[in-house]
Amino acid sequence: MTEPLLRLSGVTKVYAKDGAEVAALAGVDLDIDRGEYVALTGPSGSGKSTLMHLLGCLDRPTAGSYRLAGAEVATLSPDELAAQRRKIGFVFQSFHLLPGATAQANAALPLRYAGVPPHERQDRAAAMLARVGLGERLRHLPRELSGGQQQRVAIARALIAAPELLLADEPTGNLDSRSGTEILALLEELWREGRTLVVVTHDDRLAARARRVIRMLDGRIVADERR
Amino acid sequence: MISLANAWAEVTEPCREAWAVRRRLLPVVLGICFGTLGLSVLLAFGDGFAAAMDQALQRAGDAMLRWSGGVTSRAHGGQPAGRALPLLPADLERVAAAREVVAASPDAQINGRVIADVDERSANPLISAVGADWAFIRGVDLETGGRFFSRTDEQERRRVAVIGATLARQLYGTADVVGRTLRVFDAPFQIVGVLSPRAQMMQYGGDDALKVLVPFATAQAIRGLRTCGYVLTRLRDPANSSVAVTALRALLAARNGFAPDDLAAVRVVDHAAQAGQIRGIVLGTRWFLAILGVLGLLVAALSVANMMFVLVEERVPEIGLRLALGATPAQIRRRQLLETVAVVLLGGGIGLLLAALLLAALGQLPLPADARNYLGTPALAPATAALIASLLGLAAAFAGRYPAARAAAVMPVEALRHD
Repeated sequence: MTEPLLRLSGVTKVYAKDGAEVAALAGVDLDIDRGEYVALTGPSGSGKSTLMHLLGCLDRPTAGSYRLAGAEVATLSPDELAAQRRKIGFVFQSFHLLPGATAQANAALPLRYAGVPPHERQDRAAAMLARVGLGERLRHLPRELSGGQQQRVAIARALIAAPELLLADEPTGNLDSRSGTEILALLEELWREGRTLVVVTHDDRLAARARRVIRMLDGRIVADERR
Repeated sequence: MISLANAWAEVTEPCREAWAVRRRLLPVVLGICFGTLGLSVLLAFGDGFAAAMDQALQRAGDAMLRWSGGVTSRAHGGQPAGRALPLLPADLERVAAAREVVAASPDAQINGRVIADVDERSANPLISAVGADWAFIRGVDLETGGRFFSRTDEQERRRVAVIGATLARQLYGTADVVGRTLRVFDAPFQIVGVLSPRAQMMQYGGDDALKVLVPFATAQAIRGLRTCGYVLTRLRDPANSSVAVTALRALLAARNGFAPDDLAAVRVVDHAAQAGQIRGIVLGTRWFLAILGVLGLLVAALSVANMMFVLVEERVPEIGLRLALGATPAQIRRRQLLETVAVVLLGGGIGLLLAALLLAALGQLPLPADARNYLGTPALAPATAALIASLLGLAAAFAGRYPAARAAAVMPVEALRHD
């Protein structure tokens, strides 16, 4: 039997806050297979964003084991950790684009750290932006784009290195309903192409579109429904 | 393996990103610029001053001992105390033959009246009766077209003279007087050379620029000179002048019958040792100027480090994002360091350029010749520029290291927490 793409065993994350320890995650066990479409949902402070940060190797657990594609994340060196992150596409609620860089340069950023030559980066970024419907906006700065367009740039950036795993943290949270629907449709299209998609949301309607819904409360998984 | 294009992008992209925050970095660039300018100008002044002083010392006889006769202070060898001992031509011959000495010359100074062949203009300068090696011992230069006395001039007791540039202008209205006639000791002398103006250091008997020099043998013939006045000796090893003083004093003591440790019997002024002391002071001054300049540059480097720390703190979200997108800590560190290096080299480059322009302009200022002779002409020597460039490299490494380490230590999740 093949190991799941993501496997968390007894993962705990504790923060120090005002001299006291706060457990954002308390002994989470979770497996996510390749090709799944998972919604992580729950109220604010339930630990869903903390879990996504751990899944994306953006943070380290305080205790427990996290294996990503068979590798124990806690034992990885900084360079190996960076290499793992290059296999993950991130889509953030507030886009996190570099304000001084064009749409094309923002989309090309992960390729810079993957050692791809500059001219190839530009070509691939242009192609990816065309795919998300921004082929005419290559030279635009983020401030010259609408919220929906900025999120499309972020999706282009997430996809450019052809990652196996897409992590989206409230991807429609800062968008109007029409833009949100379009972005969600785009993400689901990418999932249908075979990528693993994990969406963090507190929106039940959005979560209902996923094939698997994991509900969190007080740092624990309280429900795991498959459809 | 990083391709050439990637390596070029690794260098140029931080520079472009630094350009994006140019208004924030401008004060830092200016700080480094003025720090470099200050250091460059101070070092250039130090170089120019040291070169001028070195030249002045060479032209003042920096390898010279100046002997003069004295009076014995105690009885010795059957001779009573209080015996006057003027230095004679025989003493000169004795010291000239010593192995510590490479050249020797008398320098008998006589006050007298001289009359030019132009409008009967006259003056009462100091007239020095010297030997052919005097110019070599003193390290003096002559104006173009002139010459110093030769041995033939001495042997044939020719009536030739060399005069100081200031005296030449007083008498003739010009320093171009070679070939003119000057009456000295009521006899016509042909001027064969004019002493070049120079900084007067360790002088004796007044300013050389106001003197008339004639061959000692000629003065002997006309004036019946018996004593040498001073005996000037150029040493083979000026660094060990005290050893030479002891040896030569012993030699003169043996010839004249006084105690070698009777310092009043013959007196000596050790110009070589004085020159060494002055060079030590000049070296100390250069170090002082260099330390002042380096401290200024250090302050500028600290301001760079401070600003880079501030920028790193402001960029934590951006750095976290880059790490989230796959950057390694080493790439983040390198990028931050390159930005600092770019800032320091830009400021330093502009500072060096401004220093070169300022020093070139200073070189064109119509300063009095005396001031120029003492202060020299400050100029940015290639070695000094290379030293400053090395210091800038060190400053960049110093200023960039800790902000770069802070940048590399950012956790990617911080990018999202700043959201």
